[in-house]
Amino acid sequence: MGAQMISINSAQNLYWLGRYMQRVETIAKECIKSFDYIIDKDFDDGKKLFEKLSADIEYKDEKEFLKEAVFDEHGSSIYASIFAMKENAVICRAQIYSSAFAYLNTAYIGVKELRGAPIEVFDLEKLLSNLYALNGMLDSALLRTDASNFIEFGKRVERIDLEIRLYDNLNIVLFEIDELYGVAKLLSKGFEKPSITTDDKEKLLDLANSLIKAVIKF
Amino acid sequence: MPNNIDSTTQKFLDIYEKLGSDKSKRFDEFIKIYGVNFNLYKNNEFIEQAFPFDIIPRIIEKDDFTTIEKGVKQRVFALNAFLNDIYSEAKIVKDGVIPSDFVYASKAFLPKFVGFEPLKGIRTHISGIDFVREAKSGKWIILEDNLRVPSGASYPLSIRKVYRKAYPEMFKEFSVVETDNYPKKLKEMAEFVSPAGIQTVLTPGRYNSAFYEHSYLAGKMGVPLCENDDLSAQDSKLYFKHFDGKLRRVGAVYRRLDDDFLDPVEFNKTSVIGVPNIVGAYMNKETAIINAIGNGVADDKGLYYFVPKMIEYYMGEKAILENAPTYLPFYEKDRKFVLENMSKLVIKDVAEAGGYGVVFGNKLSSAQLEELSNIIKSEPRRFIAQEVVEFEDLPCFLDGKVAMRKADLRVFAVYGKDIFVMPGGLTRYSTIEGNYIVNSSQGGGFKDTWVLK
Repeated sequence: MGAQMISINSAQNLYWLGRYMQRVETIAKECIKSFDYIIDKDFDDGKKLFEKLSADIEYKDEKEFLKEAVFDEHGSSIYASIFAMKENAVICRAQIYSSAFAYLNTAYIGVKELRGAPIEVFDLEKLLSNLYALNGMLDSALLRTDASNFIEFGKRVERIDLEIRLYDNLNIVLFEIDELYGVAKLLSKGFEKPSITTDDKEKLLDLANSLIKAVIKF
Repeated sequence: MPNNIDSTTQKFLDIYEKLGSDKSKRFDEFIKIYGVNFNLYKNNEFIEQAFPFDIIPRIIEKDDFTTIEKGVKQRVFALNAFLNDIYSEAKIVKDGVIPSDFVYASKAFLPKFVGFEPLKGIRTHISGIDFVREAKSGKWIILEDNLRVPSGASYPLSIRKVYRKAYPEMFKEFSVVETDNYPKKLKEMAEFVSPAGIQTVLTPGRYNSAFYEHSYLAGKMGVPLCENDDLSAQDSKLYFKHFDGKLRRVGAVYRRLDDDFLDPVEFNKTSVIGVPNIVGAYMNKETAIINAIGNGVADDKGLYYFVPKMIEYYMGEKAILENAPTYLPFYEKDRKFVLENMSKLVIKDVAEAGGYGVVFGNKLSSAQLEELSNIIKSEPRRFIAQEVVEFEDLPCFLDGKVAMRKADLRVFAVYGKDIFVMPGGLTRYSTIEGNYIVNSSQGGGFKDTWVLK
């Protein structure tokens, strides 16, 4: 990962790269869980999952659920997110390790090539393996560059977003916000941690989503 | 197996066969997952595609490349001197060495820049000189000079490391000169011409055919890859918009877009990829633009004819490297010859590039020949004619077999404190049998180029 200067545009691409990485990983994990529920525990589990992600999907069985979850036209599909992840990575690839790009692109190609074929849970597990490798690689690098911090920042914002939408656990949300501040501080020396005076999840979500403006001076 | 493969390449093939060809899939994998793309537009549709690659490298013996290196240095020096001359006193025109028409009638000549001397007097910072090797004589012949935004260096650079991982044995058998200091040379050159601040690479964006190259080179040079809105020209200085809101001075821009699109204030008003007023910073010598604005006049196909004369004029030396035998219909004697021998010649429209506007006379019907004759008569300056150089075919793996295909070689030179020639280059081959057009924009593939120590 180069340590070169980062423009406003690249910073945004890196931030969104991090967000989509986290989104793809979380949705893929949740889809694997839902697949299992749909078989013989709760047929509507997949619908409930995507409702929380603001999308309506229909399926007649667990296999069709996977297909809808991966490729349906809605913006919360795995393909929509992984495509956005890849596009952001292509644009800012000069800022990231070439091997990180390769893991990421492998994950994308793996999903893209599933189009038209029956999708299995193993395919999602393979996707997760690539994402784990990518995350591991980014986490284990000793050199923390602004680029890696922006990716981390995006991932943390997305974790808060998904935590609120999917799991509703306020304590974890507050913990994640605290972690996010730490990354913000690395990117912006003058960053001052705002005090949190609300437990309203919508407001917390707005707070997390707006924090990027404190580090990228648009 | 074709029987006209040279002994060095045959040695490569023998070792390759012995080591097992299954490792060759590593190359396809690399190109796919690392996104080594050369994108195309077909019917206005963006097609993201891998650059076709052939594993059999072009191998050049040391002595051969020494001549190429010397010749390229000489040529690039002379072309730079020519550009400095025509944008100042134009002595070469006044002395009658080059007809004024070939300078001033070129669309790429920009009168506004007459009298302007770029930083360090360098205009041809990065040159891509296209060669072919004559099949019979083995002589290297220059087909074209690319002095605007030559592309392609990143592809052989990217693939070399895969060779070293997949076939380390090859590098014990063949003593190959390394090429990986090319980005460092680019960076040193950019620093050399930069009066202050940082250096950047300016890309038209993600949908440009060579975007892979732009990001690769920026990454390897360790400089930011910018799109137009990452830069801002203010008070005749150029700035980089850092994410922290502060502006950083930019002293050199390696731009990967043509003059016409570079500055919507100065050139094409509809350009949405240019940086408004960047030309002001350039003219004020606050920012170097790599390559200089207005270089296109020197790599005009019509000017190509005069390059050996430029070398003699500016350097007092004979050209080390030869041009293909070329005729200018502009001259009456040449025009007569061209019109009488059109079916034996290749006719090139000087305004076209990328393999377009190239017509082989022997492929035209008599009606088409007549039509072209009439156009040449009415617009003689627009064309050059060349004897068809029977250039060599190189062995390529196609459909699991070795087949011979036409191939050229683009050699890259970087002009900074001195002139550096990358010991290798981009070998492009045609994927179609007998086709002389090898350009990547027309579906050609690439090979690595190994220069032996």
